[in-house]
Amino acid sequence: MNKQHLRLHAEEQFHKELAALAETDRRPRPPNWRLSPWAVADYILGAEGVTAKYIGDRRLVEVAVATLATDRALLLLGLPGTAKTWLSEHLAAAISGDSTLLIQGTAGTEESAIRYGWNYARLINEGPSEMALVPSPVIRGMRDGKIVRIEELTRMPSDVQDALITVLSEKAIPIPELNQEVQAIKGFNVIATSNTRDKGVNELSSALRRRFNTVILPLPTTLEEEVAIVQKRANEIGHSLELPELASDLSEIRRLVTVFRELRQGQTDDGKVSLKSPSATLSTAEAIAAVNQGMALAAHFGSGTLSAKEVAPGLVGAIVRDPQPDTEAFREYLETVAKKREGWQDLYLSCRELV
Amino acid sequence: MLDAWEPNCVLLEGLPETPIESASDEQMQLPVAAVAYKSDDPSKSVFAPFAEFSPEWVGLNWALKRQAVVRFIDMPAAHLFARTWPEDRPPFDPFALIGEALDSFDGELWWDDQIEAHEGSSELFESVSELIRELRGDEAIGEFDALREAFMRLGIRQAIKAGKSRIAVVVGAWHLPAVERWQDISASVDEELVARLPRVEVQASWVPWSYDRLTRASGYGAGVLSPSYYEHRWRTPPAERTTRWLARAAEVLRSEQMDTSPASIIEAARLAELLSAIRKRREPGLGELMEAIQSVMADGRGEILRLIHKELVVGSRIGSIPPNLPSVPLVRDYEHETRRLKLIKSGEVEFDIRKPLDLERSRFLMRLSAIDVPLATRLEDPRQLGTFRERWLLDPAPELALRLVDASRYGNTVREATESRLIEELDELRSLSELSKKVEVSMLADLPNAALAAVERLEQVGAASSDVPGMLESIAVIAWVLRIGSAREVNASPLVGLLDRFVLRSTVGLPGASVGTNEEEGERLGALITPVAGAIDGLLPPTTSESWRKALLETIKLSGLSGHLAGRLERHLADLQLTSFEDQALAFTRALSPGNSHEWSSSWIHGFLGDSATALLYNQAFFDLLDNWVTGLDDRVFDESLPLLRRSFSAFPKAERRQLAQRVAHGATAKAETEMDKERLDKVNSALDELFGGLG
Repeated sequence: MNKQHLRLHAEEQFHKELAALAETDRRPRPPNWRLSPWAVADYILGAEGVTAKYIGDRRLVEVAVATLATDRALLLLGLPGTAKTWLSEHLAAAISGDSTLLIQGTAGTEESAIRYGWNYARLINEGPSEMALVPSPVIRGMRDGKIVRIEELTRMPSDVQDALITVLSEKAIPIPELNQEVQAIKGFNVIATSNTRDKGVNELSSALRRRFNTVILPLPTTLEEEVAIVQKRANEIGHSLELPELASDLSEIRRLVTVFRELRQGQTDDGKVSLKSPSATLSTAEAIAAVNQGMALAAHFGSGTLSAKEVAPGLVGAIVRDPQPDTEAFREYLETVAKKREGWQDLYLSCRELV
Repeated sequence: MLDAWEPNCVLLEGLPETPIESASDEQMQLPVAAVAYKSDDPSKSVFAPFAEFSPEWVGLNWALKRQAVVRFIDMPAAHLFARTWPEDRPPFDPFALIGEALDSFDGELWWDDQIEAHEGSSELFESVSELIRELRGDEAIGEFDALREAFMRLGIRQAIKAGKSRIAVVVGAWHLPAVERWQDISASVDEELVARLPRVEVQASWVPWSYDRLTRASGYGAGVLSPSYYEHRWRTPPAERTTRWLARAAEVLRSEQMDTSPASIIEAARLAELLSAIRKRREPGLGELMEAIQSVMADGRGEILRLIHKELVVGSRIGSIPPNLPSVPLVRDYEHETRRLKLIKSGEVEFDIRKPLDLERSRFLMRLSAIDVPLATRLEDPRQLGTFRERWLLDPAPELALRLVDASRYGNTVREATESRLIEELDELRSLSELSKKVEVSMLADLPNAALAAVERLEQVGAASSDVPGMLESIAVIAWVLRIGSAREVNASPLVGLLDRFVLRSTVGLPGASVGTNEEEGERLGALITPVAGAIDGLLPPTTSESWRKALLETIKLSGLSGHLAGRLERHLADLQLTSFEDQALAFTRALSPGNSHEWSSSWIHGFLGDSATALLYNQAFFDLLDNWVTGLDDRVFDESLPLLRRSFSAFPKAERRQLAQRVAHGATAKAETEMDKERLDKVNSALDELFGGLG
């Protein structure tokens, strides 16, 4: 393991927890699973000696784990920043001990990313041969019986998506050029994620859709839950970026999350004032980024504690995406809500300086 | 379990007054509720609902079929209504506590899982009883519960005295220790406890119930949240419970136009089984089943589950009772009230609602129509008349009794039943105009709770709605209720704020809603817009009226309005004196200019003139403009426009049409002398003849 890597894979970062769980896990494991479904759920949701990776509805995680154990594919849907990728990475790490079999869906993703490609030098030199074949992550996952992750499935062109149908129903990929096929061994499965905000980019065909069980990840339901997530993740990231340790100030994070939630919901938390929602997503992930930015500012240029001065730029950056209407919405928020709220003067003034 | 023990006497937790005999009537269809009420005041009542899966019903049914003795042994309603009782239910839900301790989701779930999964095991009883004893501890239970249990023990002793040897007792688990150890307390203690209880006279009967109402708490018991699911469990053998439930879900989803393949039932079943295994449960419960349905059949979307929840989980079953059951409380109240208000004969009646008795009658009839018991129909459109006179046609048809029985599940008095039915219906309603009608009914029928709930719901739906026509309709209704409210002694004050917010919301939505309407929609919208200004005048602060007027002025400037709507708005603004005569003349020329299609122009005229020719008769300029436009049309276009124009003109009163025709004849002759050729004039004249129906 190389300590210099900017970001570690889940199975590297939490290898101790995974090992400890595997040690004590006495329940039956599906073929080629590193852990039993119970232990996977514990790994994700946290248990004794295990940190929680996903804070939220326990039942959703159980449905996700059970889905993978029935060898149906899992589709995680949600707004940007609802921990879809995060959850899929940890599921793969816990089940297969490997979260690296990854396909990133983009408009330019080709069928070869799902099936196989060719090493053209060899292909021309030797003709079609196994050596000339470049296996996709899907083929590797099928051969090793591992979980394959597909990110942003709906961003792929539809014809590429449909290449998955054979994979999911036949659990095999034919290679006509070699007169062979790759058959998946047990333990292979697919976790796909997709963003509900981009719905309709390349909507899944119903043939493909019905091969997935769908779990929709919600935004955190309560303020406390969201504050906890932001604080935990911001600290972890801060840690890996080796930011100097900050006096942990929950109240500053709480204020920031409150602003995000209120703008997102289009009303204040007490439901008394309705607000304009800016065009930005304002998900939990954005709140984490804004806190991190604030932490970096505080550590390098500020007093060392996170205060309104440091939080404001991140806040404004996240909220104002479309200058004219978003600025208007945020200003309205500052004037009608922030200004009047007790103890929010500093935040109000710091933000007002910027917009 | 009963079959194994074969008791010759079955004792049930429930009201001793319950009319047991009719329970075996073949016309009795579950769910039903036993009702007991104070003879002189049916509003004091208690309901005990039964569904086919209720343990008490199962016991009752078993006993009646085998001619075993059967009794209800709870505290009689006669004592229940004789004084008020403290609310001393168990301080906590014992099973919720256990569920929590075991990190399960809730008590009901835990109960299902542990108890129902061991169906029919007698060891189970022992352990449950022990468990409850532990939970109850040594603390004295409340006075009310103590009395109830004393009655239960007395019931057991009585059965033994009567020589019954094999007795089965069906009670809630909470009472198990008291009943099981009935011998621990001597008869004299119990007898003394209940001896001096006051009592009143009560009546008991059955009323039809519904699964929907089972979900609400009533009587002693809490509500059952998923009656249809329990029925399913009760009817289906364990091995088929999961698949059959999922198949039903698929059916319901298909009826909501969602494709659901048989394969997905299998997939969902596998997921549900696995989920229950992960959760360490014996078999999939409702939670696992619904989550599997959501994930496999409904694309993960929770809103789809909510859509089918009512049909699938709650169920729509409605019970019925034999038709000639005596003393259904609602029927008695109805009879009492009709006699008191002298509404027993048939025929026309007229009320002056300034008289208290007439006002009461009017309210009573309104309530009856709200629960589908049409004793009388209103003879006039209420909005057309003055506010004091009402005419109704009374028709006390015999089938009203059936309808009353049907409505009796909502309450024991007409007032109560109307109020709770109105409140229940609110949940279903999404449309602003329907909701505002509910507000109207509950206000005018003097049902303050229903009115409050309806106002709240209307406000909620209104806040989320972009349905401008619906909002305008609501405004008209609310304003009307406010206007006539004082005459009917209605406290309509909560409506003022609502009306204000609705008007302000409409001002925002009006321009958007007006653009792009077709002729028909435009005509409807126009008819909704014009009454608003008058309706709110004087009711709302001047600033609101001002914003409304501004919105009107803004809307009229938009392009893309339908002809009729544009004309109607222009006229409305003229009537409100918001535009000057020059503005109007300009609008008139613009509307009739060749840039617009002649259909558009003719509808504009129709919209502008409305149902009266006064604008033409008193404004020579308008008359000239119209005249010039008509005469300037070429033949083909003229023929096409004629029917449209005729439509506008035919709505005018006869006298106005005659006046107009005279003026046309006069004007046309004058012009013909100067500039028009004879042939063309004849054509116009014959067309005008047609137009004015030969009045000229």
